[in-house]
Amino acid sequence: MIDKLKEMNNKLILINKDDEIELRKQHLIREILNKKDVFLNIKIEYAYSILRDLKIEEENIEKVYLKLIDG
Amino acid sequence: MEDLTVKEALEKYPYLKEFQENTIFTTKSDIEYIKSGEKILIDGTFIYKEFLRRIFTDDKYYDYAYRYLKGNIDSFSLGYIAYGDIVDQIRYSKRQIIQGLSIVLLRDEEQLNSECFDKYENLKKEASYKSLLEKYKNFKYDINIDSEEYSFNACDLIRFISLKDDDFERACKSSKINGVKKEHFIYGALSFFKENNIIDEYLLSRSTLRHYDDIISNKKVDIETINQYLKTEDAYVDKVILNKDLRDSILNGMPDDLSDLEKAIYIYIKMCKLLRYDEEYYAVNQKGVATFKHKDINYVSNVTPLNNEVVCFEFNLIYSKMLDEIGIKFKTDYKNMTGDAYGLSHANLTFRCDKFLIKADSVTSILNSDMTLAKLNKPLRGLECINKNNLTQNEFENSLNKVYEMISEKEKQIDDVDADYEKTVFMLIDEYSKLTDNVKEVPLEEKMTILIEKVNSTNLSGMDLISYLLRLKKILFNRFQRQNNVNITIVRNNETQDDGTISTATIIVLNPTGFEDKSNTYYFFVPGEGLISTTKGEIQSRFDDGMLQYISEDGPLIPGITVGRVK
Repeated sequence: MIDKLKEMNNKLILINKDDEIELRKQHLIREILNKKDVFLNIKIEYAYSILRDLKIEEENIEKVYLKLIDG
Repeated sequence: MEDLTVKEALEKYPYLKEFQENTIFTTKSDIEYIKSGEKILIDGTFIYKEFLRRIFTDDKYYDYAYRYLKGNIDSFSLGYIAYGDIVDQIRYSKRQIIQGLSIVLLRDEEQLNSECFDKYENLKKEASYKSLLEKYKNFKYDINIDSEEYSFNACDLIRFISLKDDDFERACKSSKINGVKKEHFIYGALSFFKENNIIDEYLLSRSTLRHYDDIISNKKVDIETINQYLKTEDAYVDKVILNKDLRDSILNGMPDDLSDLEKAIYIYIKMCKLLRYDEEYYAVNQKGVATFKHKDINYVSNVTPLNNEVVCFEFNLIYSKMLDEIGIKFKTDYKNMTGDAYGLSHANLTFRCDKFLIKADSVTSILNSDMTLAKLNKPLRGLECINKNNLTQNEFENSLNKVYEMISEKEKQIDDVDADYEKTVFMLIDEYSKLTDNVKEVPLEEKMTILIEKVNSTNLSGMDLISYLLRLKKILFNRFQRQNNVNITIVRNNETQDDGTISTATIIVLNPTGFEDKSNTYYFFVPGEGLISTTKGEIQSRFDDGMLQYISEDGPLIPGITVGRVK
C-alpha cells in the first residue's frame, strides 16, 4: 500500500511542478512516506490529511488507513 | 583407668616403642603435674613452664629438644600411654620452645646456671635465620603456578620475605622480582614457607613475620586467585545451546579491545538488559506447573531476545556459556543440601579473570534483581568482586562503572536516533500541516472502530501484541481520550494453558462519552481467540474468582474494576 501512495505522490509532484506551494507539500509528503513505519508513528489526523492530499477518496480513507497500520 | 609405669606400658603395647624416637613417655600423674603448674603465653598459646624447665635441667629433654631443633626429628612430644594409645600429648613448635626458654631464662635467672644459657644459645642457633639459609642452601623449590613451571632457589624466596621494610615495599611495587612476574614469585615464596612450616620452625625477625602476614592477607600484592579456577567446574555448560539471536544481541556492540574482565562485565550487563525475570514463576511462588519449563535444562535454547523471560537457572546457564566462549574459567553452583540439583535451588557462579575473583548472581532479590536494575541504569548488586584486597575491589568497581557507562551511552545514542527520527517526522509533519487544509478531527467512534478492527485482525501475540496495542493507542487517541474514553490494560490470566503456562489477557474498555460504570463497553481479548464483547460484571467475576489478576501493584486500573491487586 505504501508503494502505491509513493507512486501517487510522484505523479502529483509532476503534475504540480509549477505550483510552488503544492509542490513543496508533495515533496514533504514524499519525505514523510520514506520514513520507516511512518503511519504507526503519526497521529491519525495527519495520516488522513496526507491521504486526502494524495487524492484518496474520502470514503476509502479509513479502509486505506487500516492497511497502513497493520501490525 | 589403666595405671601403668612407662616400662609396663611399653611391654604391654610394644608397637608404641617406635614413637620413642620423638616422644618422651611419662605417667599420667606427671602430665597432670606439668599442666597444673605455671603457664607462659606465647603467640596466643599457653606453654607449660615445667616442660621448658626440664629442657634446661634434664639432659633427656634437652637431647630431644636439640635433635628436634636441628631437624633430626620432626617433632618433640611428651605424653603417657593409656589403653594402647598415646594421650594428653604436649607438643610445641620450635619457635614456641625457643621463645618460651628465653622467658624462663629471664624469670628464673637466679635458679639457672650458666650451662642453661649455653644450652639456650645452642638451641637458638639451630632455629636461627642463618641456620634456615644453611639448611636450604642448595635447595630448589619446584612449583607450578597458573600452569607455569618454576624452580626457585629456596634461599631467594627466604631472603625476599626477610628483606628490610623499604626493600620489601619496593619489591612489592615492582612488576618483577628476580626476573619473575611479581605475583608468581610471591606466591612461590608463600607456598615454600607454608609447605616447610618456616614460620613455626624458625626464629625470624618481627619484620619478616610482618611481611609474611602482609603476603598471606593479600594486603600488599593480590595473589588470592593464583592456582585457582584453572579448570571450569560445571556439569551443564557443554549441554547448553544458545539461541543465535540472543547470543548476537548480547555481544552486539562489544568493543574488541576490552579486557577479559570488561568483556565478562559487558556480557553480564547486556544479559540483564535483554532478559527479564519470569513474572509467572514469581507469581506462582516458584511452585507448580509454571515452574516445570525452568527446571528443564533444554529450555534455555528457547530463550531469545523476544522470548526473554528467565529465572536464575537460565541466566546462569547463558552466562556460563558466554564466559566459556571467551575462555574464562568458572565454577557454577546449582547445589542444594542433597547435592547438584539444577532447577531446585538458587543458581549462581563465580569466575576468575586474572587477579579478579567475581561472583555473578543476577537474582539476589527477585523484585530488585539486576535484570530490573540494569534496565533502569541503577547500580547493580549481583556482580561482585570477592577478593579481599581493597585495591582489587576498587579496580573492579572502576571497570564495572566504565563498562556500564559505555553501554548506557550507546543506549542513549540509540534513543537519540529514535528521538531524531521522531523529531524529523514531527518537523516534517509540522511543516506539512502549515501547507495543507486537510487536517481534520477524526470522530472518536471511528477511532474506536479502527482499534477494534485492528485488534481483531492481528496475528501478533505476547510482547509484540502488547507493543502494537500501545502503539495504536498512541496514534489513534489523544491524551484526554486515553484518560477518559479508551483504556487498554494487560492483566494476568491465571487460567493455565494447554502447555501448562499462565498467560496474559487484555481488557479494553471504551466509552465515547467518558468512563462511567453503566455505559462503558468492555472487551476481553485473548491472543488467538480475538476480541470478545463482555460486561463489567463478567470481568469483575473473573477477578473475584482469581482467574484474572492485576500484574503490578501500582499500574492503572480498569475502569470499574477495583479488586484483584497483587498482594
